[in-house]
Amino acid sequence: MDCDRETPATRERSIWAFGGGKGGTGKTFIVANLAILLARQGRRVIAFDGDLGGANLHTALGIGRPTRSISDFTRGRVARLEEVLCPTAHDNLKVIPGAADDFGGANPNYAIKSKLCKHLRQLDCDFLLIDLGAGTGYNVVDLFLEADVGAVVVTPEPSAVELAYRFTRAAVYRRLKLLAGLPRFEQIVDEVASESVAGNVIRLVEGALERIAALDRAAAERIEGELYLRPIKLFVNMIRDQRDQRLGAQMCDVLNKFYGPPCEGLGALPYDERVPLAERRGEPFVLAYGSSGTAAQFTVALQRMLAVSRDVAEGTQLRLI
Amino acid sequence: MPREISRLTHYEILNLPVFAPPEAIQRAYVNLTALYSETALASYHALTGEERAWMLERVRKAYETLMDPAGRADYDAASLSMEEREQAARAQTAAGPRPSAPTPPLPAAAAMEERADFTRRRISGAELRSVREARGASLDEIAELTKVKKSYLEAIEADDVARFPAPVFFKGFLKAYAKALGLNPVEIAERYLPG
Repeated sequence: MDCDRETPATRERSIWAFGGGKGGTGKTFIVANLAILLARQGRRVIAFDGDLGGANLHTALGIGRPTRSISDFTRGRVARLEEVLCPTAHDNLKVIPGAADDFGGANPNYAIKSKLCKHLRQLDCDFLLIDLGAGTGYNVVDLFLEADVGAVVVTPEPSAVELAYRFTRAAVYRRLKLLAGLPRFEQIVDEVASESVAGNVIRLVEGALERIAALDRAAAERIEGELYLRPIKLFVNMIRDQRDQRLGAQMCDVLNKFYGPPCEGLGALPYDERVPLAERRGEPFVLAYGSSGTAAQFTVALQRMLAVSRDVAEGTQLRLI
Repeated sequence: MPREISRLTHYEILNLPVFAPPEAIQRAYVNLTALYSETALASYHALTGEERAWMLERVRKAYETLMDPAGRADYDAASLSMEEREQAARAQTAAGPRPSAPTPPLPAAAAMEERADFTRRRISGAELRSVREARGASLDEIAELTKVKKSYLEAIEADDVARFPAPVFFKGFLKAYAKALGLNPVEIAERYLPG
């Protein structure tokens, strides 16, 4: 692991979001354990519970009942996001707990959401990991797009796979609209979207770009460049057998060929019965079972994260397709 | 430009480099046919029946064309760039004669390979060259910087591992090259295609 010790000059700073549409695929588990591993390597990490209405990242990080939460910020009780940072039992790791016992705080309006995104970008840390809630609504997808790198977490079951694709589709569509900028371009995206068949996202992307290019070639090229700049990462959890093991590569193939932005594997974790045991004891899995195969897979994912983050920080993210 | 799927080459459809041996084509065919079949978990919700049928047809066409030596030569001549054709030809002569009938791959081995590939997509010499060109660096400059002979750097970009005296030299040169480009040397060494 000789890439752990780079010079301060090449320190990476990046925002990662973990989404995927379905609940129960292990997003919180993955974020909590990666955050701890990063912090133990000396990175200053903030874990943000972006599951605004179903928060439990603080529990995964061993904090019983946080005294502060994101709703203090969204409700305007504090002015700065830093004020709701909670320390954890781990050096270098702080958490922004989600709204635990608040009515309505889980549904911030547009202005509050923009303010939140702005403050997230300004947090002083090396890594910001965002744990997203289930669903494919704008509140979730917009936080996903706010990140430098977006990872889709999926498990080998039909419902999770279906929602992972739907989530990716929502993200590509939303990103296309945000990049479009002008109302008339946004309208084009919507028109093409309403004509597109269910599966084919690339047809949506190419159709919209084609029509925008007919009006303004430079704008279409700019949108396309931005859209393809950030690959989507895929994280497969709860792998039980050989068949499951192939799911990641297979989904990458489908996404690469039919969904537009390039897709790459980030991690692959086996199904592990000890996960709930560690949680019940209130111990982070990677520390409780540090020598397990699952922990080894976390380390593999971590190395990839560090490599990608370094590329992001230096603006040298490899264009892979 | 957007990667319109209808314009993908047979090699791109199968996710293979132009110098892929028949065994790899066979494996890719088996894997992709399974992936785009009606009951496959990974494509069922992602694509319409029409799209899956279209992909299966493309996969079959790619397989049939590339497994037939004459068909493959014709296809390469018509669809590949000069440089890609050279790469393909070098790989063919280096590998020597091929068994006439392809042996069916072991499912477990194929799955293992796919798994390895999933978290580390292979990077080709051509991709590295495009990174270097994007950085505006010439091979002479990289040679000067890394103290690696230019011919070796050219070999890296041409996926020509056979040109190196020993694998250990090759890894070292590749890492130096990656570092000079500001890429992560460890990751590049792991993901470089022929390695």
